[in-house]
Order: sequence, then structure tokens, then C-alpha cells
Amino acid sequence: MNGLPVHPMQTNIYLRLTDEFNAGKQRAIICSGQAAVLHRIAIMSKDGDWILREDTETCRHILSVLQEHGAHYRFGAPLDIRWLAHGWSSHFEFFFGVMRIRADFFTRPPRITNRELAALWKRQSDRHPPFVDIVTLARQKQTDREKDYAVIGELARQMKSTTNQLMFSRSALDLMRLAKNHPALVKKLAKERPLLAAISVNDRDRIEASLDTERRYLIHRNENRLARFEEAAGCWRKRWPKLARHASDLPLLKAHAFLVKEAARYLPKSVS
Amino acid sequence: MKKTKTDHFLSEEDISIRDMDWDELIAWWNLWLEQAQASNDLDQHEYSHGVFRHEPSGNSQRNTAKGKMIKQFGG
Repeated sequence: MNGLPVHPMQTNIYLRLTDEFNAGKQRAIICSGQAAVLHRIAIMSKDGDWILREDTETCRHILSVLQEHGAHYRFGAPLDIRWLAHGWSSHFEFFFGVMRIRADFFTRPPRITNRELAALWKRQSDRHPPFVDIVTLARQKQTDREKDYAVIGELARQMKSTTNQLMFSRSALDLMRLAKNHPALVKKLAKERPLLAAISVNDRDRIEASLDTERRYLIHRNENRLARFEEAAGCWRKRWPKLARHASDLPLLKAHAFLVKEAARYLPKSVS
Repeated sequence: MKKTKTDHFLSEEDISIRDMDWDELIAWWNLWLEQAQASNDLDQHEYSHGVFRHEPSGNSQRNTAKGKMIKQFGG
């Protein structure tokens, strides 16, 4: 197997969980904050996120592992491909010693096409631990949170391809240096990233203004996406406190069965 | 020697993890995760990922991990 040298004594809860999720078959790829650690960018998140394979066996296995850890559902969609396939996320929590562990899952990460997702699974098939590549991580970080754009800025500097650096850089100075050495490429990529058209004037202020505008556009785009899910989850949200009280007395697999039954009535699968 | 101007995104402490060997990284990561528990009460109802931002209001303490510990061990 390719990847990082994970000795049993040199691990942590997120690497351990990933091993448990992937026992016998690869089902889960580490993404978001913990992937940023594995890319040596920064440690900025205490929660774990995984992209899962979109199949029933994977959901069943993940739930079994989580049940062994005494996890319970947080508000979210059931870990069931009927919801996950439409972009919903599932959320769990448990204690590991003194640490509160949160485990978040989805099968359709935003801003990643199905084709890119298939390529990701292929590339990660023999990785240990599997974690999203730097470009996928940068796309994941195009959220509605300001702090994520600083991470993208560092990620872009770690990218090997000049094309990717130009597509993701958050630094006017870096972009100006890249443009000086690759003017034809900048011109070509400006069709996909309009702010690149501003680089030719070598005007730092103008490029920074364009970066700010682009960041606000990406933030608003993600806010709008989340608002659609928020609206679709309206009935589910109202019922959740009552459902969670009942589910909290059940082992996770039974709680899951109960929540799936309820979600079939109160949580739409597709979101317009 | 002329120093090249650069934009800074993260602190020196943040990016220092790139110089750590694997054992150091794991030790620092685990220590960071333990210390980050201090903010658990502040983000108890929040989400950092996925399509949700906040737990529904009125979610009883019983449904949270903290609530479960209290239920199990008293509190």
C-alpha cells in the first residue's frame, strides 16, 4: 500500500476510525479539516469528515463501527444512500476518552463532479490512509467561511501543477509571479477563472479586489446551496428534538432504522 | 539578499507541521485535539461540515454527547 507510515502506537482517533471504516474494503476517504493535516497545511478542525462510497454495505458497516464506539446521531439525514445520493450529510458524535468526537459523512461532496469523484476513488484505492488530494480539498474549502480561503491560499502553494496554482491561488503576488512566467496559460485559464484576466495589468490592488469579489461570490454560492437544504429540512428540523429523544435510548443501528422510517415521511430526498 | 514579498495566509505555528516527522505530527495533532475540547460547550449545537449549520433549538441536553455522559455518570 502507498501512503503514510501509520504505526499502531502512532495514530490518532481519526486515523483509527478510518482504518475501522475501511476494514476489508475501502469505504471512506478522509476529507476537509483532517485531510488538511495530512497535507501538512494546518491543524484547524476537531471534527472528522469522510466521503463514503455510495452503497448500502458501506452505510451498514460505518453504522456498525460507530455503534461499537457508542455513537449517536446528531441532527442530520440518515446514513442511507437514498438521502446521501442527493447531497445530504449525516452526523454522529461520541466520546473517546475525554475527547468529543464528531464524525460527518457524505457521498456527494459539493463542487466535485461525479467524474472527479470517480477519479478520486480510483486514485485513493491503494492509499493508507486514504485522504482527498489537494485540488479536491481546495474545492471542498470553497465554503461560506472566510477562514477556509486562507487554507486554500496555502493549498494552492503546495500544488504541483501551474494550472492548478493559477486556478486556486488566493495571493495577488503569487498570481503576478505566475503570470509573468506563464502568460499564455493565464490567458487560456481566464475563461474558467475570470479574475486571471486582471493579472496582465500587473496591478496588485486590482487583483486583490478581484480576489475579494471572487471570494464573496463563492461564499454566497455556498450560502445559497445550504439555504436550499435548510428549507428542505424544515419539517425534519421541527420534529428532530422529539425523534432524537426516542433515538437516544436505542443502540445506533436501531436508532438508524427508526430515523429512516421517520425521514421517509418528513425529509425529502432530493433538494431543488 | 533581497527578500521576496509574499502574502501570508496562516501563522508560522500553523504551517510548522510541514517540518515535523510523522511521530511529531501525530503527537502534536493529538495534543491539539485534546486542547480543542475546551471549546466544546461553545460549539455544542454547531456544525463544521455538511449541509447543516445548527441543531434545532429545543434539542435537549439528553441528546448530546455531554447529555449522554451526564445521563450515564451523573452530572
